[in-house]
Amino acid sequence: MANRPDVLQGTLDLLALKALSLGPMHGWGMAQRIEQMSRGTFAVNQGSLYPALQRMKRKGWISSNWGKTENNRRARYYSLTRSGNRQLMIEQQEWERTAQGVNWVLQWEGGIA
Amino acid sequence: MSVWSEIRERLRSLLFRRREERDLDEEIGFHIEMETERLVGQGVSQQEAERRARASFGGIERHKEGVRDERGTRWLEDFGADARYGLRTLRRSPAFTGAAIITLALGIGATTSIFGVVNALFLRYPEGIDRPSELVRLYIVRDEGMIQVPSGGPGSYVDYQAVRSSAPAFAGLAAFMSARDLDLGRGVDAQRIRGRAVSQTFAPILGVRMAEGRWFLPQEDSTVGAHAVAVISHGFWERVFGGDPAVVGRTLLVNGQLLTVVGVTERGFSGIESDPVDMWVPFSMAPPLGLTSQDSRDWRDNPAMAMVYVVGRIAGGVPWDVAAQQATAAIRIAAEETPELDQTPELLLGRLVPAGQPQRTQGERLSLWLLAATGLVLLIACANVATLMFSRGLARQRETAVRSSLGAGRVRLFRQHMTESMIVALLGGLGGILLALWGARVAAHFSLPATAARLDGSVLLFALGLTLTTGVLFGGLPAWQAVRVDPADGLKQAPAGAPRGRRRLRSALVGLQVALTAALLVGAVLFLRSLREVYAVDPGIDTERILVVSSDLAKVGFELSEREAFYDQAGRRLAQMPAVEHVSTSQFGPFSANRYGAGFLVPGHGRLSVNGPYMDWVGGGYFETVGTAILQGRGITERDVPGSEPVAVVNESLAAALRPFGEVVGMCVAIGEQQRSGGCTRIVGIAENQRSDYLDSNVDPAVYLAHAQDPEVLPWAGTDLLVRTTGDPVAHAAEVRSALQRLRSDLPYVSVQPLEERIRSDLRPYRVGSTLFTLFAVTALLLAGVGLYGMLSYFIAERRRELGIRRSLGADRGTIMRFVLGKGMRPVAAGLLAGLSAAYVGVTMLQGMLFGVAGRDAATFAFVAAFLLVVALTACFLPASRAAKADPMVALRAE
Repeated sequence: MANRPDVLQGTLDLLALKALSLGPMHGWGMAQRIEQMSRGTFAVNQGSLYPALQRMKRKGWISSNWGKTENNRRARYYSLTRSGNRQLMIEQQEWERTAQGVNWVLQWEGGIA
Repeated sequence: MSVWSEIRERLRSLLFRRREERDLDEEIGFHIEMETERLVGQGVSQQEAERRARASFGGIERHKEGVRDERGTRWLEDFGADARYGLRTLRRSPAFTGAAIITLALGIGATTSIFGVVNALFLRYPEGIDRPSELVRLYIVRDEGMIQVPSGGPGSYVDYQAVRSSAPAFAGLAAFMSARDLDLGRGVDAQRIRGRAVSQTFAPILGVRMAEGRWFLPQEDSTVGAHAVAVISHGFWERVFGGDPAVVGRTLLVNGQLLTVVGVTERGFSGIESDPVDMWVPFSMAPPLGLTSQDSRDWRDNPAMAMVYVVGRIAGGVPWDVAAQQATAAIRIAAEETPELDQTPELLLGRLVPAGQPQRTQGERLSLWLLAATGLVLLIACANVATLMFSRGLARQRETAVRSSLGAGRVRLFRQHMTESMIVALLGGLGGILLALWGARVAAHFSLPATAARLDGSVLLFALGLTLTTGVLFGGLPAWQAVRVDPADGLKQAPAGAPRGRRRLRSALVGLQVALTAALLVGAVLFLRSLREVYAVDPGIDTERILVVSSDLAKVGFELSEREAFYDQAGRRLAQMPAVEHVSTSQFGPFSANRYGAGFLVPGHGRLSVNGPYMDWVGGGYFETVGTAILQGRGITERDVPGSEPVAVVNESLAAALRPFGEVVGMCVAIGEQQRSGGCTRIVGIAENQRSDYLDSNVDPAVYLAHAQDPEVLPWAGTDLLVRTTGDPVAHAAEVRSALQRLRSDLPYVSVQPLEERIRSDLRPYRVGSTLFTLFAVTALLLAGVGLYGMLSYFIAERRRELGIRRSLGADRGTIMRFVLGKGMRPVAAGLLAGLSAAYVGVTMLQGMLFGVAGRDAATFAFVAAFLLVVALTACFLPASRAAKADPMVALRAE
């Protein structure tokens, strides 16, 4: 397995929320989903997903339920709540602003007055 | 929404912690299985797949901890763990724990129960009143007139009207007379109730609401006797009428008058003084009910008749001193119309709490002393527990060091220590509250002022605050000191004892404790000695075996001759009873709230300028009956009758004022009417002073006249029969009462009351408080002694190893003893010196609060020093002699 960088510090919430916006999923599935969605760019540090999920649950962004997988196995499924949806939008905008700013810095070619 | 989910999640985590843990295990297990399956699907061997799955997950325990942290209940779980750990540690040293808890319980209990009294006196407003903090009582200080009340007292109705019309600082004012006993009904079923005549504005100004019916209408307080109406209290309504709403409109026979009940006040309200009132009548009904004279000039117009008290509501935002200035100006202008009155009266304001008057009564001062004394006792208790904790922390340094080298953070360790202290504090506080519950009953029993000193919310809050404060006080510093230790140092130390630096610290601690204890003990002993001095004052009257019998015969229409005949007959009848030793009469009775002063002319020298003198008209044998000694001459006897020479007995104070004019006994003075009509009264004896106010060293001059020689002098004052019983007066009260009621069938209510009860309740502790005093003294000494003993013997026991070495090196017992005593007593001596010096400087601040004892009282200082030295010597001597006797090898091997 290739060494891929871990998810950027601080973006895990955003990625997890985005992954859940596609539909309820269990922890392992979310890790897979994020990896797929990033087209293999980075891997989720799988263990650290769970504290993040617990935190988001406490904040009311996601809820959890025990359910069955396709193979009829018991798993805890997480789904996005309405306030989670709102949070996703906020974080997405924030991320875009940050990324834009970083890009501007990197693309700077003039001098400083 | 998010707040809810937060709370829900945290609650769930707390309540279902075990299930949450199980779920977490299952979830992680599922994750790893799925990952393994995925890898197996890619062709990796089962074993290798499992290994990789675990590796990519990362440290399972670390992530579990991460989840637990995110549950947001960490601090609570930690607290639970700390509490369990603390309880375990405390259980392991039951002697220490028990001593600490008992010490704190005693301190907190004593302070809380006394605070209950102070709270009732100084902080609690009467119930059922709207915004009581805006209300003030008006006290008028007038430097003349018959009755002197230096701290301010009632004024005249004229004063009240003057303030009402020209002091805009008051949003409203109401006036009332002093509460009086009223006779309800007649014959066997007659009852005595408390009633008060008030202005129509009384309920509206106080904001009192009605449970039934209505308050008086303005026109009902106009023409004297025209509107026979009354309002009753909720308590009285329930007690006598069972809460029947039909009581409104009923008529009641009160003091021989039929009154119609027009309303019932709301539950809780029972007047504005601690003495509950059953019935209010408008001022216009005061004369018909006999609450004020009917014959003299109407009390409403006479500026010399000071019989109304005034309460006012201060208009929003007006400062009190402005209101007081306006009111003072108003009564001074009114006084100009009556040149014979004091032209510069002053008006003081006081809060509506029971102790709101401008000058403290002795009972109130007493309760403040007690609070101060118990506060000091509590501080001693805290100091003791703190030093115990401190030494214990030093002994546990190794444990702390181990824990901190295992990764426990300092904050965490500090919290751990504090939790332990808090457990001790809370258990002590709990014990203290239980003690205070019992103490409130004791306080009520000893009739501390405001017998209603119950444990209400604010008292419990006080106890809780006290508990937490003590916990922080005695726990904080030791905890801080314990966690400051560098783990490496702590581990390196030999388990047997602290290094030299720590030892010095511990000596310093012993010294500090001795100093604190000595200073606090001086304060406590001074307060307690003040109390004892107060109790030791001779009241000049024997209150314990006297019954006061009164019946208001004039009110129900008995003529003077009929009344005199009845008292005569009653006296003879009672004197025949085996339980009765003496019977006599008095116009006012000892400790009566009513007093009467009159002018006093010494022939050839002019008017005597003293307070009063206060007069009483007494029957033959009065002084023998009440137990007041005749110091010179004779008392009033049965032979002092009309036609014989008028005689008087003066008290010591009056005798002292008369002495400059010649030999007192045998002097003939003009009293009251005699100043105009001529004639004089012969002074035949000097009686011991009767004191009702123990803190006031000045007893007002008093003169006793023979009732038989002047029966008509005060037609409105009912005569009291004084009965001295052979045993407990309470046991004979019923017997006395029925004997009297058999004499005539048409008597109104006959009150038979032990004299003790008549003494204002806030004066009573002075006579019965010696038990309480002893209890406090013993508690304070016990706490100080136990604390010092524990600290010192611990200090010595710690040196066992060192003593063993010295013994094995050949030191004999004498040397060992000298060594130990020297080591132990040096910090004690230093502490004692420091503490007593601090106290010597500090007591000047207490001087104003002491009674009969100087702040720098040598005996107190000597006693405290001797007491602490004896305790310290014992505490050093016992472990020292044990160490000297012990086999050195045992001591050396002990570690």
